[in-house]
Amino acid sequence: MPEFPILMLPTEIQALVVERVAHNSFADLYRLRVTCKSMRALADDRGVYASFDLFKHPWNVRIRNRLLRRCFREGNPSTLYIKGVEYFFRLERHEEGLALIKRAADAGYERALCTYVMTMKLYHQNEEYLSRFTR
Amino acid sequence: MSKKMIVLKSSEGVSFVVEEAVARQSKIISFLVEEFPDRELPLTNMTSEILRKTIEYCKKHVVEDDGGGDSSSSSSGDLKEWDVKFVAEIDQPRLMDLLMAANYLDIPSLLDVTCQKVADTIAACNDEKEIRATFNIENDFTEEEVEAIRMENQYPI
Repeated sequence: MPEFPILMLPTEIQALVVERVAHNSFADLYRLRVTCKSMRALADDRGVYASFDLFKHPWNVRIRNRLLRRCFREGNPSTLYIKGVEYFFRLERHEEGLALIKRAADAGYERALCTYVMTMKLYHQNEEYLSRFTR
Repeated sequence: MSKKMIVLKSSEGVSFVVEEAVARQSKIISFLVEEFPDRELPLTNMTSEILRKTIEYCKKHVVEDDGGGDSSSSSSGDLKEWDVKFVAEIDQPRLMDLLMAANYLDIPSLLDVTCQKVADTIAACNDEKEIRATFNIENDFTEEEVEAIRMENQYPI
């Protein structure tokens, strides 16, 4: 296979690629992380934490708190969603929970949008969002 | 109605005549067309081959103004399929050039699909050695460092 010298690309492009890798799968990201120092630095970059989908994390590997905290700090939509659901449905902290779910929905996270719409309808009889769905 | 055409020139000096709407998908060309109307635009860092590929992509993705109603030249599903085929046919050295072209010309959607293709190529590698070989990466870690990172990853690689 012909070579593709990835490190010759401008750093911002490399970062875009690494974000894609992170979005594809955690296993890929972890594999990429051990290839060399500059890839490890990129894999630890903020944008990467903002872009993975925690629902793609392998179910048999424990998600560590450090990872969750960092993702949350970077506004990672799947993390906002998980935290929102926990607040709302488990801790009964409705206002904070719903605000988090909404943030995830606004970031384009579909799962969060569905939850938000249904929650608004069920808890607040608010159909404003539901009516926007056209099936 | 005749469409306005513009001329792009590759690094080998080959001229490509394209519709303005097609070329305007590049934010850079869009800017240049306004600044220097009726001028040939030299793209000295792009080979004819890559320029041809880029134009092919832009032609497919152009949104027709005069089609009325449903104005996109193809439906979004078809377009996605076409994109997949488009990048699948490109080999690695050319993928790199095309990525650079998308970046240079500022065509976000083309940059998107090319970056995704690179990420998918990484996904197709079985281990870090294969990634290194494919992407010409030199391992600058010591054995101990690799072990330490594996521990950090806590993932069975």
